[in-house]
Amino acid sequence: MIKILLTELLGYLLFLVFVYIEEPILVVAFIAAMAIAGITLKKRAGLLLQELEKTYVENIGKVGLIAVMIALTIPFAIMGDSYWLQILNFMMLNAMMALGLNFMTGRAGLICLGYAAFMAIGAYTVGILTLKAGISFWIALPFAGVFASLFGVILGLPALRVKGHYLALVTIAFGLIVQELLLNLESVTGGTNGLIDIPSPHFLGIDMGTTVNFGFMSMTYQANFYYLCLALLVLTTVVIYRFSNSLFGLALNAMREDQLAAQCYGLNLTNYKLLAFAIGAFFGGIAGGVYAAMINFIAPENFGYSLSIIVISMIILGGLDSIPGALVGAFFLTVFPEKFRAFEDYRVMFYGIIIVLCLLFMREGLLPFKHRIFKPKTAARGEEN
Amino acid sequence: MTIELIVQQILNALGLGIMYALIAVGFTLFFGVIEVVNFAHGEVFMLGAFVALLSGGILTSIGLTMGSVPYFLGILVLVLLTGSIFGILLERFIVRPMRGAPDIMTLLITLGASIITREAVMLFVPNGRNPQPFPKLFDVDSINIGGVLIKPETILCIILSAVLISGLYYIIEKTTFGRYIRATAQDREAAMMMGINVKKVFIITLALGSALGAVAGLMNGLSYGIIKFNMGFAAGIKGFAAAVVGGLGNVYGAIAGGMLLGFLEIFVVSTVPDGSSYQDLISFVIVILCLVFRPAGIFGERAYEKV
Amino acid sequence: MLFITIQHRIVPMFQVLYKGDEATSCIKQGVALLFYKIFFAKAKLIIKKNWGEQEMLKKIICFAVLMVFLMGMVSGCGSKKSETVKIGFIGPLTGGNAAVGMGLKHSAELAVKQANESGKNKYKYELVVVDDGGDPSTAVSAANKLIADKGVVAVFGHFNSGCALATVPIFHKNGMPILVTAAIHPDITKGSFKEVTRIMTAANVQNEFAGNLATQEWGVKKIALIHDKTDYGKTNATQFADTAKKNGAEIISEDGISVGQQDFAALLTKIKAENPEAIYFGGVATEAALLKRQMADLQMNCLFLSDSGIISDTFNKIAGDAAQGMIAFNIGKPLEDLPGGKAFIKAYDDAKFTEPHEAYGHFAYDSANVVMAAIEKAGTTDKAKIAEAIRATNNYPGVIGNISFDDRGENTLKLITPFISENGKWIPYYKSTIKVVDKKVAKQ
Repeated sequence: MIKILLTELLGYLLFLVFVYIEEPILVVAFIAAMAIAGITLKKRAGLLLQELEKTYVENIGKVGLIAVMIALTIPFAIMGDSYWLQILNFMMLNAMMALGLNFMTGRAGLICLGYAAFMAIGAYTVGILTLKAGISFWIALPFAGVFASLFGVILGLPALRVKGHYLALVTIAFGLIVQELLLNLESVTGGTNGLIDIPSPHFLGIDMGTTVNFGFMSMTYQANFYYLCLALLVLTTVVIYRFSNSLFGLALNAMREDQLAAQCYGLNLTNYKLLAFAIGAFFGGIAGGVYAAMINFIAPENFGYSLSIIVISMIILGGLDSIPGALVGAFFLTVFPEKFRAFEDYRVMFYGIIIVLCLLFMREGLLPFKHRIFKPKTAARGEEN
Repeated sequence: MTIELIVQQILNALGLGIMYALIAVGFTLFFGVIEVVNFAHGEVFMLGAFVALLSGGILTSIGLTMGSVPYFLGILVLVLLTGSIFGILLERFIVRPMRGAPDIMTLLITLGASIITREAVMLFVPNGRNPQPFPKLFDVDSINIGGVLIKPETILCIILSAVLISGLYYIIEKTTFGRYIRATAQDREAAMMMGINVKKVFIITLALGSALGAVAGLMNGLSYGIIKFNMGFAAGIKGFAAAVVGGLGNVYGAIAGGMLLGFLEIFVVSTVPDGSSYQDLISFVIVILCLVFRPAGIFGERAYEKV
Repeated sequence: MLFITIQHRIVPMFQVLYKGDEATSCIKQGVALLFYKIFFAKAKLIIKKNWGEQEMLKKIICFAVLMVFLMGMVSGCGSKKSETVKIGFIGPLTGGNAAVGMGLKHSAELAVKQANESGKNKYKYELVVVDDGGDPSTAVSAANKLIADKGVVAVFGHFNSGCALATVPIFHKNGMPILVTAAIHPDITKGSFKEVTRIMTAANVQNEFAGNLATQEWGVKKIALIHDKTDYGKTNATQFADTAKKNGAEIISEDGISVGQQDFAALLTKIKAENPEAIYFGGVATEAALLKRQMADLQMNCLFLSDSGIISDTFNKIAGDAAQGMIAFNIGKPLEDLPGGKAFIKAYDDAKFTEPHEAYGHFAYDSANVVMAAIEKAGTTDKAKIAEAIRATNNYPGVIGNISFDDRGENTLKLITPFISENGKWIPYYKSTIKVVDKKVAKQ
């Protein structure tokens, strides 16, 4: 317990230092130092790390709890710096998308190169419902998820018949078609103009788009959304975790490994595939909905092919089918590039290099998926079902 | 619609279709022989165009004048070479290490390779971010035959593609090496047991396919007079779509698929009101329909034959 | 090739690394260097010696963490200090419009430098530059960065309308005055927020002018419309068409194309069959050039009109010989014909920036000057007062002429110039030797 607390606090501290250093050269030095420290640790204290990992895996609930507690303090620790809060908000939205995509692509093996489309659908659902129909954000948000799920099922239908490479092409096409539809259905989506002036949500009568005053310090509206995103991210993680560790998750794994064999064991592939698409897409839609309410402005160009690629590289970096992997991947690929804004040009190249290097040398990612170990009680519960 | 207009549109479609066909051939070869869908194939198309543009300086420095036939042949050779080298590098560093990995990984790594290539051209070619004007290699105006305007570039492209495709036909059908390729496509293990160096077959296949893709890039530059670092993406998607329509693995199907796609695009643009908005979408819709209803390509199961 | 690469990419990279004012950056560099030396010497020593000892490992980690804190402190100290007034610049320094963005940035730097050197001002100014990447969501986080910087009292910039549309509500929410420099979407000032002002003429003015000129003066009656489906292109095309229709012209077709599309032969063949007297294209240079080129291939010689987005060398280069006779409407006037143009060009050349000022540099120069003049006049760093002062600007003598703002925040000075491509150059129509005669372009 104390071990977990201490290590997480150390991570928190390092993160804060990382946020505070500005000069690119110092950032590079910091990253290099961290990498060297990491490699040395792994080489010299491998046993220690393994033990730590075991503690983490065994007490996953506590780890999460402490992490959330720490995360709650971040807005204060960074003195309400709205720029960094915004980045962290994006990071959490990306993490939600990475988790959703990871469920589809990592867990169920259904590759999707058009994931940005789900985010777009969610964002436009919230945008249209709150802006044009005047519905409250809190009602619109679940709809964003549900609509994205619906489209997930629609995408899933052709996917029932195709797999692998073909599926990749179908999903790319899906992403582009959705974007094109958003452009052309002008009366609803505002066409190329997008939707401007989407209202901010109200929470307990407070407009989340305004500055909050804590007495000793005031924070811009990003802090409100920080807590919203955090809550949703925790929810997403828990839901995905539960799904993954259920028999349903296991069935998806079986389907990923060998469709034919899975079918022979009596799995209804049609249902499982459609469900995997629906669940994966749901969280993309939610992330999109929050994005729309936070930025107050959405246009089709925000949800292009490159966004899908970025999300894919997150889960590759973190490790396919690994939940902590998706979180870590989203963290690295959102926060790190921000420190290198001067090298913004190289950003996309950086994503490409990450994809290639990971697949060549670290196929399982930073935090590889661990094959599930069935504890007796989980197994028993499974049998009852 | 007048008859001249129809002929004009047919010519437009031919020029477009032949380019898609050349790209599609690569996809179909890779899939047939190596069982890999190479998402980086679109980039070789872009590279071919850029090499053609940048090699102008080298060729003039060795005394060839622009607009002459040797100059053009020089560019052609350089483009073919670049394509092959790109293919070989791809095989060595991207495809080979991924042998045995799940499909999804191979696919993603070629995607990564394509991003890197594209961004590298954008960043490291001087002024690479902006579209580059592509010089007219032959200074001839459009020829007017009975109201139909024929661009000399279109004719050149059609001839060039015909030559290349018959060359490919010759290699695959008539040479010993072609037999190796066909054997590997049919059954890799059996081919290995027969003493065929499958590794070498893979290399040559990627080199061949990529070289054709690079020439398509050169043709694109010639016909439109402009090249961009990001033109590989759309070209790749369309080439893939054409290959799927023709039945992946079927070289002649790919050529037919390319032509079909070209004709369909032109048909929609010229008849549907505001059809040009949807020109790029057509290939996607077709590919989805095709994959769902005729996964083996429009020529159906019987014509489905690897290479 | 390699050399060019080094020159183009790597040198600027290092320039970026060592930016900031010189004194602090010197200190920081020194510390960084020291850090490097110590760290690597230590690391080498450790690797060489007992690579096997647990103790050493602990030391190295402690050392690394310590160094990191030290670095954090150093950079923290560096970013504080100075009581100068900061003004923010936001623009596309990366992405597709980077060239224009760099021109804007340098021009703004020039204005700030001149103001600081003049010695007439109450305040010393510092320009805080952020990058909107030409992309709305990047723009939003960049805008937040400016708002988060407590020292920044006013902001100007933006080239892409999408970015401006996305950030304007945020600036308004946070009470930050923003002077929009070069984004032309009419809706940017729609909210009539007191913080939002625009120096650039809005697109609708340009399009109404174009529509009137084409239909009334040149007598065009049948127009084919093409646009690139982007906000920019489509808005231009629609507004042009509306004006033309009002004047009794007929729009015979309307087609959208995609950015990045290359083959327009089919589309143009279709349009040719309908015999338009003019084609209006709403979009940017690349597609316009391809259209013009393929029009030449099809021997179409009707008028081809377009918006300001195509006025660039790129168009002339790509269209080649076919560029001749292309007409485009631009906001503003050629820089050398503007009241302060010559002086600006000279000052810019003297400042020896690595990139040219491009088409809109002088707007950024004027924006910076208007903002600084307003701050001087307000005499305070209170954002609301500065916003008021910017809005109250009356006949400020800028490069583009005398600048004043109306109730909505639009510049009252509206300049539109038609341009025509002649021998590979964009020539203002009033100076060109090619004129529109009988609905065709002809050399006089």
